[in-house]
Amino acid sequence: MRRALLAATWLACCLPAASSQSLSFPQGLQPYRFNPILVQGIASHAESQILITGALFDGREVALFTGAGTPAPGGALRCLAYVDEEIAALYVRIRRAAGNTLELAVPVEASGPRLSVYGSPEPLRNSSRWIAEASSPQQLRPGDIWVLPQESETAALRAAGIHVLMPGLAAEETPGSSPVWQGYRLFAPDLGEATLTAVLAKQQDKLLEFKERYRELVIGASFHAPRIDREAPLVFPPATPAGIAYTLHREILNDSVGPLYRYALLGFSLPLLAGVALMKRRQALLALAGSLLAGFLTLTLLAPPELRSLTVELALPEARERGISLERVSPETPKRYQYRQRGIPPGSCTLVYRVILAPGGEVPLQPFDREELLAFNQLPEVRQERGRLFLRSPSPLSAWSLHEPE
Amino acid sequence: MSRNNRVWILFAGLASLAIPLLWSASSGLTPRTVAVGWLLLGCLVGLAISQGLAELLVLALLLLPGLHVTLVSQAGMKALEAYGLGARVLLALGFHGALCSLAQQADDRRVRTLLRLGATGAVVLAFAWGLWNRSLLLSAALLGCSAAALLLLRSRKAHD
Repeated sequence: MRRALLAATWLACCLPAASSQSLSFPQGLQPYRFNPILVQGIASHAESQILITGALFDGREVALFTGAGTPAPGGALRCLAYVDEEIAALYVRIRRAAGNTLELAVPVEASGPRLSVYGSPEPLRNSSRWIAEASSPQQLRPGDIWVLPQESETAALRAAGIHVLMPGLAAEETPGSSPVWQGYRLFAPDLGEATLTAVLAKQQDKLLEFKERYRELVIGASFHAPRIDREAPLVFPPATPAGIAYTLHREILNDSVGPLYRYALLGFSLPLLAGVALMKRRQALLALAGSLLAGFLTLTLLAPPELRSLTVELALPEARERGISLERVSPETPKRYQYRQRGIPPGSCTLVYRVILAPGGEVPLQPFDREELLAFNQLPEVRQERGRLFLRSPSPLSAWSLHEPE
Repeated sequence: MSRNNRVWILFAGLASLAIPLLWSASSGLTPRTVAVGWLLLGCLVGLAISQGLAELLVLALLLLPGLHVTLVSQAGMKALEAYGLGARVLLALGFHGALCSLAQQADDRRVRTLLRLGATGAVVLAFAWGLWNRSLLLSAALLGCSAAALLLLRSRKAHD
């Protein structure tokens, strides 16, 4: 059974009682996001060496953030850590100039899925653990509930996967009569706290199933697809969005030796192979090999590190239908690939899949940080150097994110 | 350079050229796998050729660019890290060459063959287990010691 991470603690317990350091999470601690973490009480610049690790349920610790010489204006240090459902606790270690290390520990609670409710006229004080109140519409995700005081235009909300709850009595929708990601229309005799809680409790199974399906889509990452002929047009048989993205990833990015290395390798190897076959004198052959190798080394050392990326954008409901045709959209540079499904209807929920390959598994954080909701297939480490943020991961950095209609 | 040696060196060079250009399987390759693969190729070809310093040098120089391109493009290493690992592979190849030359000093042909095969297995396994990752200095020291032992043995034989 999948474990979910929801909100965690707001304050951490400090080991040394005399210390004034404290932690806070300005946006809460959410899974599949880069979570800002504020460390306060940093006295000086020399104290700002910081390491945040995540303890997994099997006891291992993985690095989530490292920062050395990080600026701490006003004694506060802003870090970023990506967490997912594997993380059971966070450890923040601050190395002081004197050599001793302060450790702050934050337990992370694991629980089942939870639905956010926005717009309830009365606070939901006595609601169940699986219901949480949202303070703004922006906090709602597919599977959450918006309480509306009167019948109004709800199509955009439901198309985004958000359920609407209105006063009134109406027949229940039959399952399967609406598209996969269409939110439900729910009705309650009145909008009092007790009635709302009772209505939600009655629909609990249906609502949690929807939410769980959404979570599965975000965190499942079971990429699979049949091979396609690279020369064929990019029209896919019935497949999942993740399958299409994975196929493109494998077919396009795995053609991995770039032109510079290809020509450098051919330019070195072919003359030397000819020399081995034809030259009689060893000294001349060695001189040829040495000079060719010097040229190869110079060329490859001067070459800039190659960063390759692929972005695929798919509309969710259509991705499950008969066939999908992708069009290539204006690439920013020749080595960047972007694909978009033809004719994405406005207002549809889209899934963006992105993979970036870089030497050493290190890329700038910005392409991933902007996403609305983000899921990696690994736990990347955020590294801060001279104010710049990088992601580091031993494997190619693959992310996929759901984008709701604006 | 004998014809036999040329053929084996050409084979190694073509393999080192073809693997990165024709094999696009980046997701499953780790730097250590690539390095051990190239070292195994070099050791096996090194066994097949009658070893002289020039032949060994040409073989090593021919293998290095293919190894570097595979490490950078398919195993995701940075250029400088890839050169470091390439240097370790070259040191291991040199150590293997020195061990094989030491084995040549044995009088019995069967013992010579067994010693050379043993040296190949030992060098490749030690590399796979990370001996060459510990320190570049240690790798160089291993090569230096074996080469010194070889020179000592040769000079003693010549003196006798």
